[in-house]
Amino acid sequence: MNAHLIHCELDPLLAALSYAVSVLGSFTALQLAIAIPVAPAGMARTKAILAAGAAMGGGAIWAMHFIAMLACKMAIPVTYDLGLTALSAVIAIGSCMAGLAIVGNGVFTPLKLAGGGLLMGVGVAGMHYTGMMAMQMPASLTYDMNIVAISVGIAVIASIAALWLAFKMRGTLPMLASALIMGVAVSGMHYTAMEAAQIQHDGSHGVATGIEAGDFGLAIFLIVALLLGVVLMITLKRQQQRAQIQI
Amino acid sequence: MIDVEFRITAERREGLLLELGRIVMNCGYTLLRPRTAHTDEGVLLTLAVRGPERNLSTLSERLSTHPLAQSFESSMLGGKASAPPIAPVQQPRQAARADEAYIREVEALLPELARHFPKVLPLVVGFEREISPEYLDEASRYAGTRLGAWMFKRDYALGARMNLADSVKQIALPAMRSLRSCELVDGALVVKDSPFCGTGLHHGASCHFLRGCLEGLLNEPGHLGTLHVEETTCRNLGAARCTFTFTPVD
Repeated sequence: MNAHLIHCELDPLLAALSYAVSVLGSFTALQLAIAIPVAPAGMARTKAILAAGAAMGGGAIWAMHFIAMLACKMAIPVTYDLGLTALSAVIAIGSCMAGLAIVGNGVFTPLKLAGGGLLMGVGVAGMHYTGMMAMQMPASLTYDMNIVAISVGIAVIASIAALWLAFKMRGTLPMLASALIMGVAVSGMHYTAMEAAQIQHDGSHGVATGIEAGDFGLAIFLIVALLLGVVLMITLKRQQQRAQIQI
Repeated sequence: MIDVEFRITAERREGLLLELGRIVMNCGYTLLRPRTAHTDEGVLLTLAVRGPERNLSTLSERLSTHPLAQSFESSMLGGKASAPPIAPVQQPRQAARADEAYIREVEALLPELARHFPKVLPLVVGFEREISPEYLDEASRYAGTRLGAWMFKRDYALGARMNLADSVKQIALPAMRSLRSCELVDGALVVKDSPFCGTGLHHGASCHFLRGCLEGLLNEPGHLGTLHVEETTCRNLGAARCTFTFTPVD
């Protein structure tokens, strides 16, 4: 065992919270996403894609990642580079929008499902590894590439399963199952990727100058509150619409 | 053979293409391009059709006087340049006919079906006992079409647009299971104990309401074209189970 290897001690409560946020974000995003195929082409469909992609990328993936990083207690000071952190959010949101647009456009086919799931899975992984690159600490970060490959595989396969359930099956239970699976895609990928990371103290005493993980608390709170608000709004609106449908 | 385009406006979309498409086919015509669009006046259905010239007046008369049609126009399409265009006309609605009468009766039944959903089959069997045998099959099928379209819009509209086989599996099957126990066998939907069999009301296959439900469920999304549902075996004709198969019309 290398004496300079730095370990991550996981706070189980925050780790569980990170999974819960990824499920909530996925549930919200998939509720929005199932409206994509029936939205009229043009502005309405673009809005549906933007909303679903933002909820999935920003809520299920980005917020989950930073709660999980808060759950990881390390014996060195860690801050985050603002630019790379913002880029990680853009990657997550952009890839989710692209993936959902592919799956939601036209008649559903296995090829579209594979393409959409691949984009979303790679987006989850891209967000994570960019977020890790944003870490500023007196340590070097290397990866076991075999475990990295496994983490990307988990993200892609679980994304495909989640999209299949959400788009093909109808009703609340399949949607909940889909969100739980998407939560596995995001969290499973994250914690597997953390196993791949080897953080070694490089002997420096450099002062970290970026944003501290704790500073993300307010942003994460706002995202979670927004997700809950959107879920409530969608539920009420769809109940109203359902009641107004004339036979 | 001539190509003709009909433009028909109606108050509602449900069952419109199915009803008018059936008339087109009964007159020996083939549907080329059915399109629907929403306008200020309601739903505009544009039907490009091809068929024998001798049946054109019959077809025009039957379409223009259909109870669902509010206005009607027709014009020749390119194939026969010498033929004079049929002048766009706003046909007056004819006096109430048998099919108009059954549509009125179905309209009266529909709110009851919505109120008692999903326990609607006893209501429909009762409706079949009261309605004139002259239009029993059509009325029952039309009621089914309307209920199927309503079920789709209510519970199955959100989500992927699927091919026929997946639509039957993911939409038609669970929707029909909310009405009666059924299963899929080799792509066909099988109902073991349809309440429409053995009532003494039908001489042939009897599950017109269930056929209509399936047509409403599968035709409402629009992306599958027009589907025709056939009852290939029926307990009313001595079969062990009632079987429904699905065929695209165009």
